[in-house]
Amino acid sequence: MANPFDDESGVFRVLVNDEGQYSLWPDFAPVPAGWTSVHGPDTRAACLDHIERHWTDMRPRSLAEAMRRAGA
Amino acid sequence: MPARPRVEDVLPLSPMQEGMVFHALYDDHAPDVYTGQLTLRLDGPLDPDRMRTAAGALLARHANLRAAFRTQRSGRPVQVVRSAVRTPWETTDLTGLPERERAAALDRLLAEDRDRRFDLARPPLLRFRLVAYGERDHRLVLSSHHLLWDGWSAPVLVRELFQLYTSGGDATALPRVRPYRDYLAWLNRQDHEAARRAWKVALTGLDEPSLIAPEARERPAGPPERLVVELSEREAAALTATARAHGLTASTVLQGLWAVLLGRLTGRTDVVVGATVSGRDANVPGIESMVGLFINTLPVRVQLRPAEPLVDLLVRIQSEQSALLDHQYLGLADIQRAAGHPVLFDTLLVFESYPIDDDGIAGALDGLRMTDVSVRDATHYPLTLTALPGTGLTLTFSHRPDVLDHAAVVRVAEQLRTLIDDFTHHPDRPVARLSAPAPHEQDTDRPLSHPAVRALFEEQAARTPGAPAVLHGDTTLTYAELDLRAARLAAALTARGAGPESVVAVALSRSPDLVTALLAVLKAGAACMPVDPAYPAERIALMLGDATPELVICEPDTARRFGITPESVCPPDASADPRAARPPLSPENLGYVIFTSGSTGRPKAVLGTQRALANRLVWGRELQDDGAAGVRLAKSPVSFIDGLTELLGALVTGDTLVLADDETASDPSALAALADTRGATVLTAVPSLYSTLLESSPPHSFGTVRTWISSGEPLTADLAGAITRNWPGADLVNLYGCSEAAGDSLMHRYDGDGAGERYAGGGKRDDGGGKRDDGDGKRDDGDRKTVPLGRPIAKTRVRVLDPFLRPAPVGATGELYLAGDGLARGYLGQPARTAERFVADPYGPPGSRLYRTGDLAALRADGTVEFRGRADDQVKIRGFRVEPGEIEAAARTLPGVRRAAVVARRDGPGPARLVAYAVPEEGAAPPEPLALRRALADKLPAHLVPSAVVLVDALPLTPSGKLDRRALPAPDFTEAVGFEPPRTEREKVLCGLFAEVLGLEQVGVHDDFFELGGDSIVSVRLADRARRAGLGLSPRDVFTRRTPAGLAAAVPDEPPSPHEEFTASAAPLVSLSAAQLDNVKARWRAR
Repeated sequence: MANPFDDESGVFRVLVNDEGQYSLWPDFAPVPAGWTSVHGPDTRAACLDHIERHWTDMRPRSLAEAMRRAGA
Repeated sequence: MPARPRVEDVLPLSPMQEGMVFHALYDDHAPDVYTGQLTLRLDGPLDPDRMRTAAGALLARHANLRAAFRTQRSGRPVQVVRSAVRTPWETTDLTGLPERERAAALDRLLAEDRDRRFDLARPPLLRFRLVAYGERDHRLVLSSHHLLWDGWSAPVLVRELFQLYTSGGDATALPRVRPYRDYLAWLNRQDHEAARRAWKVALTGLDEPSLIAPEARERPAGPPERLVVELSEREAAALTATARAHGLTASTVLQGLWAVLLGRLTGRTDVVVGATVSGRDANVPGIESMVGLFINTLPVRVQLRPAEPLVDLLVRIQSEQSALLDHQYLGLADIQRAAGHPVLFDTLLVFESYPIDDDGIAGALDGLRMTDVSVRDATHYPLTLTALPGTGLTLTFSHRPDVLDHAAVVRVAEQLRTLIDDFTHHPDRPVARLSAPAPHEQDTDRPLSHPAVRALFEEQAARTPGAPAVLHGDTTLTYAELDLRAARLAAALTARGAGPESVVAVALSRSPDLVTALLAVLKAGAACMPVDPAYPAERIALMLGDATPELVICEPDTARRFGITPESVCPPDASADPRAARPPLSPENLGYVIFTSGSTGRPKAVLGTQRALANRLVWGRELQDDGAAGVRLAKSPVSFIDGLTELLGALVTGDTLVLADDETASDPSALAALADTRGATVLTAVPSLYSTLLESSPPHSFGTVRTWISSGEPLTADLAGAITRNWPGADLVNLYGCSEAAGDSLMHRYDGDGAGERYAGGGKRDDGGGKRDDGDGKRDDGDRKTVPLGRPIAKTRVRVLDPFLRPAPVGATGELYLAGDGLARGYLGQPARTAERFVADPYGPPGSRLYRTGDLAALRADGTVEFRGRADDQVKIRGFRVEPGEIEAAARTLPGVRRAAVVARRDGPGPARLVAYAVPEEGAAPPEPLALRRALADKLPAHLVPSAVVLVDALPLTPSGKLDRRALPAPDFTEAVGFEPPRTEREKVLCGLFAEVLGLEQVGVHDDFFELGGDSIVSVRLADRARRAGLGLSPRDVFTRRTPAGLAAAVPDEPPSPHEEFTASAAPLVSLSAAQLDNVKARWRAR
């Protein structure tokens, strides 16, 4: 079975939610609620590269902020 | 009596006739599905004798109606035409019945008639029955084998019959018959080779057939059931208008929509629809008025592209099909051979668009009116859709109820209607955005508190401080003792910098210290990372290097062996004042770090949250729901998520945890003794271990177990049945999950039935059969029925999505996605990989994520999930998740190896085994396979070490360039071994047992069990057989002695007695060196 996320020749976007979590996303499908497209349409490799470069802290944003406040 | 009629002609069969003859002969007892029934309602005064004469004249007129079908000695079927046949004519008078009973009587009559088979050797293959229904109301029933004529022919025949009735049987007024023979002659003149080439091109690269009910092929086709959907005149007109506006035929539109639907039902983007074509080629003179079987059933291949507008797809289908118009006469069997697939489709679309000369028919009747026609026919396909244009459009879904139930067909029909609506109103909509069935909603969000894991345990310890928490050998820890120890160690960890978001590795074997350490890490608010100290040093170094834990809790000698810097080491007995303040902890903080096999050649670390682990543990309290404190026997490997939830699950529930040593864990007799002595009530095992327990554990053992948990691999219905028969008083629970979702996401309580679902056993699963590559669609030897995976656990949602991320229809195979509180944060240090596996949920709360499991599944109407195999290369070996790519990458790093492939294969009766295939470097001396295997064992955990390494000159590839698994040779475990015959009786018995359990012809006395492909499961079988043969050996002996000679020398003189031989306490293996011990443990992992 072909999974759309594995399609090396597919067209993708990069989505981000309010927690700063990233998702690869096939361009053919509507962007789900609560997610924003921040890159693309582009190749799969380019989208993954964008994610590698930008998603530097995998903690959910609310957690990172709570920890920052607690530490401050 | 007239003279015996002579043979007038002997003709070949058309391809469609050949197919039907095959189906008629396939099962000559069941009703033949290709028996058709045409019922005409005739109002007015009818003269029965005249009608009978007309029927006879019809038979005299058309030679092919007098054909019998025989098989020549060569095996080739022919049709033999008689110069004359009698006219089968029967009459029934229903007028004597009360009027209200007549309809039912007629229905019975028609049904009985349909069940009467025609004998293909006795012509004619048709019969008439005239039913007097009322004074001036008759039914003329014409039953025939479909071999004789097709739907197009029927109105031609009816018109001629009426003309002959009117003329009193005089055929001279009718036009000359164009004989079917002309068509067969034309067929014979066609360039079949060119047609084969065209079809081969059209089907190039097709991986798999499109089957909605693969099992249907193994069963005889019974009479179908029907569902009729009427499109109104307005709907049909809108459909036609939209089609016309884009230069499409209604037939193409239906084919395309059916292909979209089929894509959802099969979970594929490259689908093949069966379609019936008229086969009346305009190059045959007079073909439009000929009587006979001209239709053909052909594949329509449709490659679905998600972003392509629907109308573009349809235009593309139409142009692809028109390129094949000249080749429509080729038989399906020929096409399938050209495509390299023995079967291509199991659904059929019939668009009835033949001309009916209504006026001609009506005008032909003398004094009578035909007021109704009904046609009953069938196909052997599980689902046939017949579209009949009239004032509206009649869609008849004819299905085989044995493989497709009514509810499923209703859903199919609803979806098709929705798609027709989409086409009419939004023809430009991309294929992936067409309307889909609504996702199955699950109501699992019961209110659950989500304290951190440490609070769950601490609350339990406060409730039952004096209750036993951990039992191991002679050691007992109460809940209060365990809590205090863990608190002291936690304080020591905190003092050394551990806290929320830091990782603390725990490299201890299963012991009270391990339990204490895991709890301590969680109390400190850090994430625990269990590491099996028996793993190879290289592997541990890699894990520690990736995760860079703040601290490693381990024994000093472990730290030395693995070169862990002293400042990172925390001994398990470290202690500090537990009253120190703890930093606050969020449910979003990390709870665990678990490594799993990675397809790209490195293991990957899953970062699990406190919320996920706590949710799993709270839910796990329900597993044993009788309220009494239980005894859980812990034996799962500690560095996996199941090992973690097994230990912690007991401790948040108030159960007693009984720790089994690794040796005990995979010796059924020892495990039984431990379980019975401690009164174990809950035990988790993988299916392959259940098989061993059933085979080798002493009778009446495990009598105290109330709940058996199966996880890690598909549980077959056969095995589940055997488990519940063996332990009738216990529940059997099937769990499904993965490290990425806290271990368990679905649960099914086995109830003995409902376990009847099959999944195609091939290929990308543990038997490595390469189904996706081999193109034959289906391999029966791998098929088995499995117990469902069940329904989501608390705060968990599950989705089965098609390749366009639409919810797969009920019963259709799609990919399984998980959502909810169990989801991990992602993979350590791998944002891109995280973002492609943990993806946006189109159907969940805004901003929520889905984890895509890579497993294939189908939803039942009640939301229960069934397992349908694996979407990628991942396999399960004894319940362990194994990515062959990881082992391949390790093999490629070995000197002398240029390329490598790893597959799981099942060559004998035993479970699947990993086999590595290595292509040696050119120009160098080829490496020794056994040396390669040993080198892999030094790098990889035991469950990833192949049973054999086989050298090959090249890796075989399929035409499409993928690894051709079927062309890989089975490993030959005997080739490298010098045979030395046994010298004593004991050696002889042991050599024989080795050969038996390993499936080899002969085994020499010095042959090594593991180098012959043995593993922990087989070792249990070997020890069991040896004990039955009077040789008191344990699986442990097999691991340490390894050869028949070595084992013969180790046999005690006393005959074995299972009850004395194994004690509940887990005695240390004092006779082994530390290195040997590690070796044993590493090999022992049967989980």
